Amino acid sequence: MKKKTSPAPLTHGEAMIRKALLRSLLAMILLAAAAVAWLLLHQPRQTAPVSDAEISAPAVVQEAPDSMPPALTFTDITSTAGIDFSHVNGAYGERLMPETIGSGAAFLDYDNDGDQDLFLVNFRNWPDHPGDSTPHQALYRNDGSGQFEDVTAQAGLAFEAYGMGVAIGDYDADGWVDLFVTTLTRNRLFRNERGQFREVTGQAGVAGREDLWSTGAAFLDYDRDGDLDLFVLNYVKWTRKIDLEIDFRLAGLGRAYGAPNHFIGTNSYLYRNEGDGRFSDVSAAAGIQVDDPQSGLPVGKGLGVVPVDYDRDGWLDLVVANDTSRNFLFHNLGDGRFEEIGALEGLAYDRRGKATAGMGIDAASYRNDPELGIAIGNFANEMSSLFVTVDGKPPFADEAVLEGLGPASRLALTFGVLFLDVDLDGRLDLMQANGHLEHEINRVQASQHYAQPAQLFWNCGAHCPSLFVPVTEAGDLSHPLVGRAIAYADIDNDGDLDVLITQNGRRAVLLRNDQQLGHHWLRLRLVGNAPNLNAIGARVELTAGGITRYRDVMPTRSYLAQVELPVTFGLGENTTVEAVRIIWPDGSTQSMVPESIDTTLTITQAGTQP
Amino acid sequence: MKPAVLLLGVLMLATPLQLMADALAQLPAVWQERLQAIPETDISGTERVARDAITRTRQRLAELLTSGSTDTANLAEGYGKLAALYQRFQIDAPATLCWENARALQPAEYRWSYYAGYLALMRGETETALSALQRARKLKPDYAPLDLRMGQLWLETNELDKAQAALARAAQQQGLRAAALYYRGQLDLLRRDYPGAQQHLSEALELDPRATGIHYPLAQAYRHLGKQELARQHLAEFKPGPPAADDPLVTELQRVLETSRANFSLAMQAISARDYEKAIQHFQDGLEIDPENSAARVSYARALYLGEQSDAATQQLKAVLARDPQQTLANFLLAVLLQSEGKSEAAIEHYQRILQQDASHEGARFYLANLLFQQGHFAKAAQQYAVALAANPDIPPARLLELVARHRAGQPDREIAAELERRVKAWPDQPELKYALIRLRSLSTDSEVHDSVRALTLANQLAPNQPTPPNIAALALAAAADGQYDQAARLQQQVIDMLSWMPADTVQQTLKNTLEAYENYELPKQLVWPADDPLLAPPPLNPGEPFRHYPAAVPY
Repeated sequence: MKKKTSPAPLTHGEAMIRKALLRSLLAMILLAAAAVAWLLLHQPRQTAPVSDAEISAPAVVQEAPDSMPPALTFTDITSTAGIDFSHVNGAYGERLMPETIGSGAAFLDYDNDGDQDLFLVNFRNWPDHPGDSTPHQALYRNDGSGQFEDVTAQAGLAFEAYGMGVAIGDYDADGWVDLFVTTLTRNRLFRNERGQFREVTGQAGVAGREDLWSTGAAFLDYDRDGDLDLFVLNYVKWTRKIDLEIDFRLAGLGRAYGAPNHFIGTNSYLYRNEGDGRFSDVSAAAGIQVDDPQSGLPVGKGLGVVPVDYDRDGWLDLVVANDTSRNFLFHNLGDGRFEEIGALEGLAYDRRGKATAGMGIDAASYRNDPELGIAIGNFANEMSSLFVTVDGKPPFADEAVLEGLGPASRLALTFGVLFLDVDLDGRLDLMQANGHLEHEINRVQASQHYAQPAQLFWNCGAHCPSLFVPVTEAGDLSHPLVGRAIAYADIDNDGDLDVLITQNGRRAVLLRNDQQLGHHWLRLRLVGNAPNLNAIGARVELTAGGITRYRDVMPTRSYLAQVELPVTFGLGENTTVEAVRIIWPDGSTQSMVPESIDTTLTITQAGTQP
Repeated sequence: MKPAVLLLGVLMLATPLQLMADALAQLPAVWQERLQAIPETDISGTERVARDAITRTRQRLAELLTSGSTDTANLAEGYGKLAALYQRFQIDAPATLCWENARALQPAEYRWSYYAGYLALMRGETETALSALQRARKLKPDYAPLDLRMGQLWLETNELDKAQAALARAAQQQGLRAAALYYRGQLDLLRRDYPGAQQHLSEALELDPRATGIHYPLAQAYRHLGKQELARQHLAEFKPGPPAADDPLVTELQRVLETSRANFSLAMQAISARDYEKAIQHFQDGLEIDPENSAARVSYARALYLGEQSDAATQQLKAVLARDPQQTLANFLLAVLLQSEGKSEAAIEHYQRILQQDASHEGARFYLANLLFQQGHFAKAAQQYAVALAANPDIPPARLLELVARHRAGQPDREIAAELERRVKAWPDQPELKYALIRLRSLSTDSEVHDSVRALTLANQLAPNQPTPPNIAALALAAAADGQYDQAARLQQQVIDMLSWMPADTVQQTLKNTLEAYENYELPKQLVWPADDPLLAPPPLNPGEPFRHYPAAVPY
């Protein structure tokens, strides 16, 4: 089939001009209408007087219908889906910082049956306040229809830990995704042996230090040798003693959960996969340790990380959301080392130069153009950040205000953020999981509440005055939660993306996407060359209706979470796809034209052994 | 009678809190329609002077409310003062209510609307801010800072044309121009008008060079203009801090209470900027208000020491310990000072006092270990290093010094060698470990430890990558141990040449003696790990290091 030549997509500048032109046309129409009305009013009087009541006012011009969000509904199916998980945060009254952080979640196909299962991370009670039960992590197997069964014990994952985040990746290239769990103390690696998990932390060498508090983590091939390496974020230097000594207080509340700016930062880990089941700690040599030149103390207080090739040079870089410290952009130099250049590239601080309390993070080409957007969820009274490249290349500019995200996100305390096409119209929307740290915050800040509704920002497209439009009513998504991690997957194989939100100290919430807009879609599952069989780091470009959309195969996004591996393209009204182009992690490219839509296709890298 | 009195006392103690609430929290009937109750809040987190001021102001207001007076102006001022205090210490909910009460009492007084709007703007409540500031504008249209605040507000809400107009008006006021241009520059960046951003922000910086916060958006402008070097220069200058705005009402708000913490905060900023004179002054001002703040007094002592007033620093630390003998950081810093003055026993006593309170104090343990080592108490030093490493393996000097101490305390070579090999493998990027192992493998008289091949292998890893005199000397030693005396002599001569600038003394003599040994096809008569080898001993004490860098959990 001859490949159609699609028109070049609008650049942002052109979109702005188009917007301005539409506004001018609208003004002209209004003026013309007014002129006609004036003329009518000034016609010579007829014999019969014209009643005022018969004079029509100028027509009111309605807003273009497609600048308002469509009906989008999420339904809480947690219980009916068989998920009975409640997060334990260990809180007993002393208000220790780790009790506020919450824990993460991952969608993964642990049993290779083609559907997305769910792993939920749990914290534990403190030793001197053991509580009534022994909380452990949870693994739920999906039967393919969105019904889940607790298989934690039989899968070997019923362990207790001060669990924080999770990363998934087939690090040993045996075709089964493995699991890495970060904790307040030592981290844990579990090798998936055909659906049974066996701990291999020690032999892999990835436990980290007992005294370092790890949070987000990502499997990625940073050195392009084919296998998956491991990046682990660390947060602040914390002990109970330090926490009590700092004795952070909120005026009006008394002792409160410690603010991270009172704690010293820490450096993160980078582990290089040696290919034999072991990892080497290359953190120091790789240049990912950032110390303040004056104090000599680490700058990082990492909570969220997203690996992304921001400069499109073929090497995965790392963007880190730090909490009350400047965000990091670790630029991959291609020789095993990174250079931290967040401030130079414009995403270290907000537009006033303030380091925000960054927590969740995601990256996507949400405008369906070469521009890369990086969204970061921030604290209450801080807008979410939306750093966007200009003319397809760095540096970034924070365009949260321009894109309609800024003001609407300011009051909320945001943890997880995710780009996802909720309505399958082909444009990536943005979802945020919100929730405060303090139960009683409303007593001192009337605009704040402990539980806060998640936010969904519908991507209206470049023709709209504001690209992101808040969706005020989205069913159960709009119910207040103490939100932390957010992850997505198509759990019921109906093409749209469902969402899991973890809560701090409460139950996890599984929200089924019940949109009924009838839009078309295509899901792609990539199989790469060994050893990176899941093709983590691949980029997929899909062109339909003359518009090219971009997705990255990267499960690490949001906050302490992993999304499913397959990528989802909404096609809107398009019934065909003109082209799919894949840039594999090794840099090779592959193109194809799918013959069907509204389905999940598996695309295998050329040269891959079946 | 007595039982009745006792009973009454018990009942009073048991009385629920709300019955004891003041007249602000439980308004007299005459005010209930007009005013909102201001509940008492937990202000234990604020400093004493603030708690006293809030309590006093509430008492005065309560008296006015219950006095039967209808002097609304006086009441409004009272609520305004209380609002300012609450707002000053970020107790926002009661602050908002107080501003609303002040406005209810004096609706024509623009200040109350302005403050309410300013508070809402700072909290990001843009709708509330808008209505309050618009009210203030109607009441006092010529209050110039209103344009600045409206400009900020429109910027926050993506009303860029309105923001531009408001900021343009504000920029016409001399005392507001820098701030207005600062926000205008941010607006330019949003619009991708990078030349405009550069122009406006540069002028703002010129007008207010102390506003180091301008450097960041200006760096962004340069970065987008492709001027990387200028961007980097401005990033290097950047510190948070917007331009000052001549806003009398906000200034009055900030001055509502002279607080110690404001002074301490400025002092800490001055320390970061290495302006110790200013830091000392701010600490003095703050301690005058809050003399019992031990943490601040310790920070003051640090500023004094860094400002080269060592005796005064000692005095302050002793003053803290007189009141609070267990104050950890004061004990630690005083111990360091005593050690630097040669008062070893007194220093040891302070280190041990800290460790009795807090066995996990890394600084005290490491410094104590070093001091014991220097005094020749090797077994005790080794024990201290071991405890420190057990708590935190990431203390590189301790990894080597523990083994050196154990060796000096008499532990056999072969035990030391095994452990040193393990540490070299665990920390391949720590050259001193390799250096020590090379010497051990070269000079040990234990045939199970002596291994010239191993020594040479290590030395060939070490010296080429880091060709420092000690590493080349180690290579020479390994070569000699392997029988390659000519090579050893050549390398040793190289070391002598590299150090020829040093005055002739025992170091030079030792080097020459070693050369002579190689020339005679002998190993030098040296200890495996000589006592005078600086790589195998604790670093010289630099008291400035902990004074500058040792983290304080609570600096004030």
